[in-house]
Amino acid sequence: MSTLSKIRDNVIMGEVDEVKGLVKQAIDEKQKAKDIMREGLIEGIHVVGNKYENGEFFLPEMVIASKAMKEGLKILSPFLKQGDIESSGTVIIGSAKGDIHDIGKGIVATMLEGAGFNVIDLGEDVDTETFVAAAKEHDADIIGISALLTTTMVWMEDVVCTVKEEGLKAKVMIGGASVNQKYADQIKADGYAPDAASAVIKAKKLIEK
Amino acid sequence: MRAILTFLSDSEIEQIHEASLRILKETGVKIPSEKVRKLFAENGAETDGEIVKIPQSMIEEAIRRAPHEIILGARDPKCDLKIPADEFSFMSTSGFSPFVDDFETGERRYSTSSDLVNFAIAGDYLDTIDFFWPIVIPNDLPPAIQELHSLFISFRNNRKHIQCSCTTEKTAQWLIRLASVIVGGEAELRNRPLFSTINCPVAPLTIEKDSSEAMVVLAKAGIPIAPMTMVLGGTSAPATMAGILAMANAEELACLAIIQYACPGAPMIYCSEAATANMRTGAIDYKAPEYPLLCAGAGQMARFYKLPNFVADIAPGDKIPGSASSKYRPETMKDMQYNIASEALMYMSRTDLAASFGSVDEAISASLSQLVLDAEAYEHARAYHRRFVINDDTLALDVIDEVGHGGHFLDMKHTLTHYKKEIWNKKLPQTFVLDPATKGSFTERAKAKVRDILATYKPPLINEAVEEEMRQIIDAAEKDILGD
Repeated sequence: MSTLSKIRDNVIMGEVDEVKGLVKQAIDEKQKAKDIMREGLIEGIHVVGNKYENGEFFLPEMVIASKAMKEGLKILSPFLKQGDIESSGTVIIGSAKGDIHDIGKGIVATMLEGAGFNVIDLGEDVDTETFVAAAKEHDADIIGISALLTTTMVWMEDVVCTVKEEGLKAKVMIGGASVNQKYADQIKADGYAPDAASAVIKAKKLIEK
Repeated sequence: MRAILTFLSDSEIEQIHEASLRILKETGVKIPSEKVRKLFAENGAETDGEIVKIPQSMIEEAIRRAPHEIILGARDPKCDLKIPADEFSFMSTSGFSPFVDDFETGERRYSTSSDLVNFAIAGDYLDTIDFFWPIVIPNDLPPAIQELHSLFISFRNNRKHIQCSCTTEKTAQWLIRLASVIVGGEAELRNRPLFSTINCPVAPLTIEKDSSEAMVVLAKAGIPIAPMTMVLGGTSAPATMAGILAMANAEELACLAIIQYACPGAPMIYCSEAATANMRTGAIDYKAPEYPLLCAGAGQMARFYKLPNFVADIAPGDKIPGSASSKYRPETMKDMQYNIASEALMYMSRTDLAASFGSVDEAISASLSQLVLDAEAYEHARAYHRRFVINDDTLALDVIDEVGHGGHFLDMKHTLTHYKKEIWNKKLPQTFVLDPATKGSFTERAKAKVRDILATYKPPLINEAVEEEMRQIIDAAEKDILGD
């Protein structure tokens, strides 16, 4: 079996250390960085995504595979040329100001990565300035905000307004137990999704527009 | 004789207890509040940045200090609740949902103060409800005063004990003042607290700054606190039952420590909503078989510490096995059987307090019709929770001897005297809450019942002078919390 196939299989199995070792090996074997990424890492994540869709894999498999892929990518990055990385888009994601609930948001981040997005997770209790600064720094396509509490969802509108005022290209998506499509429409957010799987679909649609 | 669901053996209870102590001592809890960290440090805990490592001795002392019996007072003293509960657990509404399923249209929308008023009235009317969670959030009000008004609305429209959320220090101070007016002072409120609070740690092992500071204020005023742990196996807790319980128990003990070191002897209710996650979506999975087992395990841990407890938190309401839909609309009594069996199982966890009537979709939303249906199901489920006594009379040895071999007991005076009390006589189609005269599906009958309650029932009013004083406190509180 080729090294690249082994990378793919170990991403699928979520074997972080194996993936790291195999990526190094592939580099030593003078494999093209672009090929290592596409045929090893991305292909692995692609298979994982399919297995999740058909009910064979669940969140733990997705998250661990994503971790393995990211660790492999870290080692590979210095060797990648501009244009090698074809991401679906760049997403800034975080929990709204005052909200320290972050598991749902973390799951969305993982699923987006699995779908090929470049995700920058700002963590919890993120204020508007931080969202906007990160969106500028990374030339983000999407800003995703999560809120569990009704007391923190109010900050979503602030981000939407600031993004418009500053003329950023980023579209704002919201999610969390306390919000729904109506609220997203009310605050003129660009999108809402009730769960991680539909968040990926929505994010892809927003990028297409 | 009483049906109790146990999940842990005695030695397993000890193992979970030891594991929780290790978590608290070695991993610690995250306490963003400097004030609360100081409280811990002053009493022997080790702090490292925001992490507090709590030694075994502190936890053991906290357990020693905690009262085993408490009173949950009510505006109407006849509705006071003595914990531990005797024959039946005390039941409450669901909470604290941001949405409501509109009563007329069924449409899901953000809830308002008017919705909360209606639920409070219905909760006051229904005998099944022993205490009231402000089931829906009054989203029409500014967020910072939602908790303040939730209690005020609840007090005005419901004479039973109110258990609300209270997540800031300021809110705590104002809620105490508000409730004190009804009973005539803070000393009286301490004797008969008219409200208690739910304060949730954030799993894993974090207690939010404002919530922890509110707990200190509440504890000092003698307001019982139920720090509801919401660990989710697989996402915010380990994917094992033992790990879930060890972590949930650790969170409870950490909160117990905050309460007992803020005010020795302050009332605490061991409160667990530990559950497992749906491993496909990450959402809370209250429908999972693990849920009642975790309720039972948590109940045993609470009893181990001799603490008042609240470990059964979700009514099965809209549940059908295998269905993720909230479109469950029972037509006949037969459709209710699953709910009845589910409630019967869950409330066998030896819990003093239980919720969550009226919940829809894992408490994301609430429904007046569902409240009535859950109450109806529970009245049937009560059959499983009765206590039976063993004594000479009930053993009936002389009667057994008299009837002898063959024959029957139908004409014995003993049978006549006891059967109505001991043998469940309610026929399946018979209803307790729904009006027997109404026709149609259970869903339609529940709707009719709600209409009837809201049209004809008026909860007893608060004395005019007292209410006026409460309004003045509300005005002052709003100015303080929102600023002028």
